[in-house]
Amino acid sequence: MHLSNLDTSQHTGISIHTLRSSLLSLWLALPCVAVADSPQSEQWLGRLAHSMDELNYRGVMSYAHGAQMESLRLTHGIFDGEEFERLEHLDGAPREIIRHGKQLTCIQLGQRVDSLLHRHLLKAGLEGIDRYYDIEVAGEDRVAGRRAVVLNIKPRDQFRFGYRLALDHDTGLLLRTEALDDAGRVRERLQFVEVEIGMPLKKEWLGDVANHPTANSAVTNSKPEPVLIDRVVEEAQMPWRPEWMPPGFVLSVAPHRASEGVMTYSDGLAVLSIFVEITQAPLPASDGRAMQGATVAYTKLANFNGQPYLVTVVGEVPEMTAQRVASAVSWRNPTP
Amino acid sequence: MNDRLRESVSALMDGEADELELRRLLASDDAVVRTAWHDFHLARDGMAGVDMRFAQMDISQRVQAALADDVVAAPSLTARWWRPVASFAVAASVATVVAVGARHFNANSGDNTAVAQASIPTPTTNGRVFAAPVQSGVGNVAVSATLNTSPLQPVSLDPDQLAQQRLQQYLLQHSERASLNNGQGAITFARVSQLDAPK
Repeated sequence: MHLSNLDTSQHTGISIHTLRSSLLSLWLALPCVAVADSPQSEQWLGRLAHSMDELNYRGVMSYAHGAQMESLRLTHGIFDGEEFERLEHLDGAPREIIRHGKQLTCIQLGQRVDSLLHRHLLKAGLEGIDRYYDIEVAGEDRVAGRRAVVLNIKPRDQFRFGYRLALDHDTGLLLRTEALDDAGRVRERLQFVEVEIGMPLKKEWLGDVANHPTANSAVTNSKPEPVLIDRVVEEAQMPWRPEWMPPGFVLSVAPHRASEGVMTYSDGLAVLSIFVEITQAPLPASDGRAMQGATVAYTKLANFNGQPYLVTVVGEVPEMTAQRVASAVSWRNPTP
Repeated sequence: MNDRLRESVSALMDGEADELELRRLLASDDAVVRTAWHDFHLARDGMAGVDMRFAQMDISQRVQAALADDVVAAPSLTARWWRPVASFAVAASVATVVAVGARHFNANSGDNTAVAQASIPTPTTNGRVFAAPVQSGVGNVAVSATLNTSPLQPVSLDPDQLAQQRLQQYLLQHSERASLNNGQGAITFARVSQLDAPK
């Protein structure tokens, strides 16, 4: 696994949680001073993006998709001056994901990955999300014992899912999120069953990785490689590109090597990643798709100058969107 | 138990049961059938002067417990996750048939032969197992139930398995990237629900 990209935090001195806010928040959060100008629904979205990154919180969530339900514990806050988050699966085999600063650790996979993700923001992506979604405050609810504000987010086209969010009335924290397909069916639901907000993090909550940073060093499989910001690959430098993308989706996480083979696009709410892989390994017999909750993966077998390769689109988008994007990937150069 | 079943049990003991009879016996899953099987053997062994000291020993409970513990690995979530695209389903199903056929062949040609034969009298989980001799003639009938119980041989990864592993890595990478962009932070990782270690 290679998760290697560039994080601008070291270069710009902007705090990590600012960078981690969404496209959405960057657009909506700037007018923290001028909130009166934006509609109430967008103020709530702005609060959401901020609170998820900046608040301390810890709670148990349920994740329902299809006929399945899973339980997870999420811990988030600032530890050692860096953003810390830990997501533990409470069902089945013990496994968890811990991110502390730039380091992402997946326990059970036994992998520690120094993640140098670079958020590559394009101006176009910051423009009105309301061009693609119809956002409205739909009333109040009670979730995890807390007063919640419900936001209905309906897509204006068929290329993305709709969402129904319940945000904590006091803090803006996301208490429940549901992804809805075009028929209005709930594809997946994530919600806190119980959550504590605003308390200081306790050390025992942080797990082994934070307490023993070298515990997994034997299986470390990647070294952080300082990457200069000017080496970040622009979309135009990639050997391949999608000829079609749903309106509003812009490159949001860029690779730092043209050979890396992955680009991530977002409209501010929905995210999809394109993976292009030339492999000597046996190829699947056919195109394939996979679905879980709102996530769809579409793999397309393709051929360029006799060289077979795989295009896979993974994202929380309708299958049709993933398929169309996968089919639209083409090589720019005469040889892959 | 009707006479027809009783005759079938008798025929099975003599190695003369045809496939239809065997299947009917297996499907009956009847305590009376099992008792008859037991009693017939007792009678035959008694007539043949076989040592009867262990005749009443019933090891079926332990065998059943052992079988119950021997859980066939459930397909991982990603295995269930991955599906060929519908429009290619025909080609994919042909490949599946070929794979199953090869597996069948392996199960009956290699070390599993003994397992396959021994399991013929005990195809149902409720069956009692007696220390009765199994005549090789009985094993002429291919019983597909053995396919479900024989462990899959570790083989080199097939393309579908590779596809699943690849997908799992993609999902993790995608989720990390998405967590930066969708305003929902680490919650995004909940979707990486199956962190199977690469085999």
